[in-house]
Amino acid sequence: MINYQRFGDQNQNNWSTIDCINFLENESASVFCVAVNGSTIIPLLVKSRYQDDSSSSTLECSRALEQPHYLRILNNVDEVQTNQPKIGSQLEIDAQRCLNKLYSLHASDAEVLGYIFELIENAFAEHDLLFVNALLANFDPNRTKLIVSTGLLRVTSRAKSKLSSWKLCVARVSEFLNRRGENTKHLLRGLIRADDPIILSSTTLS
Amino acid sequence: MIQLYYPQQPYPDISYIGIAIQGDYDQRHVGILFRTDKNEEPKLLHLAFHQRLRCDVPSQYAGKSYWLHCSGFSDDEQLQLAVWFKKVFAINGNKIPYGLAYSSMGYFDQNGAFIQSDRNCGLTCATFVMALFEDFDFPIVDIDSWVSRAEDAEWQKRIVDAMRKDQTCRPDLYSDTHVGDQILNIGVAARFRPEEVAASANVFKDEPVTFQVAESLGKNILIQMGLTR
Repeated sequence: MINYQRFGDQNQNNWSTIDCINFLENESASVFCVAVNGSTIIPLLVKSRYQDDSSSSTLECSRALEQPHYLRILNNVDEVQTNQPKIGSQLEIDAQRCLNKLYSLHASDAEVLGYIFELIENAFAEHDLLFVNALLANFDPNRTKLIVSTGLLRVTSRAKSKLSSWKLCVARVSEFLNRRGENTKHLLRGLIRADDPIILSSTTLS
Repeated sequence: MIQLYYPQQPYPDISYIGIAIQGDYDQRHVGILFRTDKNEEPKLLHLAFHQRLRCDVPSQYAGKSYWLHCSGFSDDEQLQLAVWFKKVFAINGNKIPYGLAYSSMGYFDQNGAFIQSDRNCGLTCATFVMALFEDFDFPIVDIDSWVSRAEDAEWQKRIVDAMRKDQTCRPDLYSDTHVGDQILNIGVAARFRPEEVAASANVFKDEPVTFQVAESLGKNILIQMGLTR
């Protein structure tokens, strides 16, 4: 019998599938489960590996949030009463994991920029353009500060001819800025031309 | 009118980035002030000469460098640039060649490492500042508008002479062809003067600053520095 306990702050109850898999898995938690409620993925914590008391599971989960986390492919679905969430390619998963860390960083703007700059730099150093492309393809400007969105575009722009997702990411950020009523032409100056159809369009992008 | 600030101790009160300029009538030198935390002392990143990229602390520059704000950049943009400047120095150390010709070909790769695209490749103190901004998609100078001036060739000859002397002292820093390649640029390559680039970085907002505007504002900077005859 597995005890379920819902946890997490109110703002986090719309986590994506990848958020859930990444965020909870460490040595303190025995099995990670998800429950599907319509289109919302709700993270649940199964009882701790070391404790039977479900009340202590919350503590273990809280500790888990502070510790480095890693990805483990969910393979014991028979133990859980839930719908199996669809897991994307490993590259997408890795990229999303890094992005989730970015979104959840509680640090100064300089430290957050340093994180994304270093992430990109390391990928470029290893000639891993696929990973950078996956970052750009999955980046969500709604989940982070503007300084991170524009910083990401500027730090990757020198390689944009080799990154098929760069322009799409620009379009996504542009659409986000337009919706907020920001001066998109000014904020993205140098990255795009002032008459670029990307910033003139108000079409919502996926 | 440009607002130039006198040398300030213990260090200039910039936001995250600024421009520093010093020198005399014959020779000026420009660099970039930066810090990634407003509680930190700003450092001065400048290309002192061939293979001498330097990142100085205030005790090394604050007493002698005039400085300007880069007010056309938001705080967010300034911080992004400051992180970028820091990375460029971390990646390259002092290894940036000095060269007289400039083009918008991109001088730094995706990691911030200097691209030695051909043997003629190099930067001056002023074009180093330009390249840093331009490679982060903030082209502060409209290089197509630039005009060569008769006195530029004299300055270029002095620089090449200085490089020749430097090569005899530090042959390890020079390739066999570098100085010879720079001779070919004398009287040919347009000169972007330090005060003109400093002015451009100060007034840049959305469009690259043209030669006409930069030259005029650059002269204003020299007046404020007391460098007029």
